[in-house]
Amino acid sequence: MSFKPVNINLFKIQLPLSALLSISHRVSGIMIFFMVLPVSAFILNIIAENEAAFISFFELYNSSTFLRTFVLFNILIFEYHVIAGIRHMLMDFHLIAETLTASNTSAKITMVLFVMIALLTTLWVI
Amino acid sequence: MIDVNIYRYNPETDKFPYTQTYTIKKPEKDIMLLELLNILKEQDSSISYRRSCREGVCGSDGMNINGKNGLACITPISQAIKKNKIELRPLPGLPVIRDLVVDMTEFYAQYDKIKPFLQNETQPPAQERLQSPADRDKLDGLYECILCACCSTSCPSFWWNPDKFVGPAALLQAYRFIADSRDTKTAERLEGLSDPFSVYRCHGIMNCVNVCPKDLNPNHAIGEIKSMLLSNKKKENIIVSDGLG
Repeated sequence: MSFKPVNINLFKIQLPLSALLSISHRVSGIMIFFMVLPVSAFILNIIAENEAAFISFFELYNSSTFLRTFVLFNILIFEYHVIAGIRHMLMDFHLIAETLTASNTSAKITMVLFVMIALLTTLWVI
Repeated sequence: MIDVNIYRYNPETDKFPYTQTYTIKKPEKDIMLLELLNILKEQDSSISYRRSCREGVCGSDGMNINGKNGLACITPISQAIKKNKIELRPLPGLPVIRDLVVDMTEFYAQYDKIKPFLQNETQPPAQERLQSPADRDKLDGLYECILCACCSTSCPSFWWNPDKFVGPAALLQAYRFIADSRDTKTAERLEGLSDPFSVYRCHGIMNCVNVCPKDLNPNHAIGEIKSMLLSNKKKENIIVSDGLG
C-alpha cells in the first residue's frame, strides 16, 4: 500500500476548552503515576525513618526554595487531577447536562476553582 | 483581498503535503465556502474536493475550516474568515487521497460494524410495524445524521484508534437502533459495544457536538449507551448472585 498522509496537526486544529481540560487531565494522571506518587513515597520513606531524619528534612525544606517549589508543583498536579476528575465523574453520572454549553461552563468553573485552590496552596506552601 | 490557504497533496507528484495560498478578491455577496472553492477551481483546476448536493444534505464536502470541521456548502465565508484568511484542510485523522479528499474506509467500516438497519425477527404485520408517537420521538436527534464524518474526525479518540473505537457518528447510529421500539436486538447490540474500546474510549470532550453541522449530540447518545451497558451489567450481577445464593 502506498503512503497516504494524515492531517493531524494539533496546531491547526481547534479544540474546545472541555477538550483541553480532558487532555490535560490525562497528562496530569500520567504525571501523578510517574512523578507525584514516586516522589511522595520517597519523601515519606525519608521522614518516616526516625525523628532526626524528619527534622533534618524539614530544615532542608524550609531553607530550599527549589524543594518547596518542586513539592508545590507536585501538589498542584494532584489537585488539578482531582478537580478535573470530579467534573468527569459528574458528567458520567449525567449530573452535568450533555450539551456544549453545560460542558463549556463546567470546564470554565473547573478552571476557576483550580486557579483559586492553586493560589491558596501556593500561599500555604511558599 | 483574502488569502485562502489550501492543503495540497497529489500522490502522483508530491512526496509530502504542503499548503498553497490563493489570493482572491473578496466576493461582494456572503457566498458559501463551497462557492469560493468553485471560483478557485476555475483559476486552478487541479484543486480536488468532494461535493454534491451543495445544501448540507449529502455530507460530501466535510473539511477542516480554520481548524474546525464543517460542511463547506453551508458555511458562509463571513463565518469562516479570520483576519482576512481562510485555511482549508482535509478532515483530520483519515488518510488523504488527494488535497481535501480523504479515504473514508475506516469511517464506513465502523458504521458497518454497528449493523445500521432495523432487526426484528417477529412476523412482520401486513402493512408496517407501528410505533407510538412517544417512541417515535425518541429517534429525533438521531436519525438526522448525514454521515459527513465531521464529528468522528474531530475526535482524538478516533484519531488514535480508528479501527477499535466506533466513533461518535456510528455510535449515534447505534443508539438510533437501540432506542428504536421496533428493533428487537437491543441486548445483542449492547453486547457488541461492551468491550473497552467501542464506546468507553469516549471521554466526553464534546468536540463532536461542537462541530456537527446538523446540530446533533452524539455525546448524549454515547452517555445513554454507557448507562444502558451499566444497568445491563448490574442486572447480570444480580442474576449471578441470585443463582449462587
